[in-house]
Amino acid sequence: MSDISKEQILDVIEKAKVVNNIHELDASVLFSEQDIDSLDVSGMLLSIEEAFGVEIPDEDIDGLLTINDILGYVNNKIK
Amino acid sequence: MILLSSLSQELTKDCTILNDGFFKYTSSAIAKSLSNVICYAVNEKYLNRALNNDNVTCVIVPETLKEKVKLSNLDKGILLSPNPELSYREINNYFYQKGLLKLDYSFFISSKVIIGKGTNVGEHVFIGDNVVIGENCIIYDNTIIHEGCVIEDNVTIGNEGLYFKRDADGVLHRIYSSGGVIIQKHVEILNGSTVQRSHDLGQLTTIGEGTKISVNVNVGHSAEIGMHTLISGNVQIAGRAKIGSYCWIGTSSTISDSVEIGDFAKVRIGSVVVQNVKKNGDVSGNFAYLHRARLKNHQKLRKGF
Repeated sequence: MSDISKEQILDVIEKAKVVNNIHELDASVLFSEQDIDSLDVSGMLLSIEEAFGVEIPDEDIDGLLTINDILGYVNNKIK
Repeated sequence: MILLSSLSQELTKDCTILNDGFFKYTSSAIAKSLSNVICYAVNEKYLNRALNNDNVTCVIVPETLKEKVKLSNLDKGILLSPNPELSYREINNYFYQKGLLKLDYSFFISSKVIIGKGTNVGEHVFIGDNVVIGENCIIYDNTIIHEGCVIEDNVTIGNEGLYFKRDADGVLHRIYSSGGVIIQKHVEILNGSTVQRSHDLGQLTTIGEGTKISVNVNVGHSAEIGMHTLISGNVQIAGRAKIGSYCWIGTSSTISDSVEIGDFAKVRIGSVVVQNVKKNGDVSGNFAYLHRARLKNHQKLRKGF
């Protein structure tokens, strides 16, 4: 499978409507520094799991702190 | 110092002194900050710890360990007992009630301390410079409060903890806590909170420097809290729990006994923590689990309805 792009990730998060103004997010900045709380992040991860058919085990979740973290993680998973 | 051979027959009923020795305090086989300690050991592991600990001068052991104690070159007192835990309890309670298990501090309160009306301060207490203690507080014996601390109204420090042991018939017997409390510099403890004294002076209940404790918090016996940790209101910290430095413990959380929480950890509001939390951990819920994982799984469940 070809690599998933950052835009695809953002598209999934936008459709899940868990975060307002998704395109204002800085992909390299911590969610916690962009007013995104743990409930928002959990909604994001759930939508990512469903959209890309990947399972994110509980113990991996605390390592996903930015959009770029999620992008790298999902691409590693689908390889 | 107290010699084993000077103990009354009532205290050493059915016991045999294998090797005489002296002690000053009661504590455990791993006593660190206290010397001249009597402890008990019910198995080989604890016996070895006691025999290898220079702070321990007397050990109470069961018949089953008699052969493991080599009396040649032994520099510790050994009391053989049919029930070492019971013997320890009786010795501890006897000397505690005699008022002999006290910190070596004589009463010292800095002249730069403010103490509110209705507050009682015990003996064997050290209170450093610029400490402010509010009204109607109780500061029991064996309490050390270092400089710059603020203790608000109705706070109790050094009271007895819940420490009972059952006998063979299931009856509960109190073991008096003969320990104390140490509160490091610049700690603040808000209205109505309680900090119980430790079981023994070998491991004081400890509040680390700069830590802030909100209202109606209970800190259990022998608990240890690190530096600059924030404990929110109504938190219950059970005995022997260890909370690291720079942590945040959310309102109305409960930390179970002997649980260890690593530095920089977050415990979200209302959590019930029954197992250790790693450094930088973030947990929530009853029972507490990885916070973000819990939220994700919760949302997944909701979608299923």
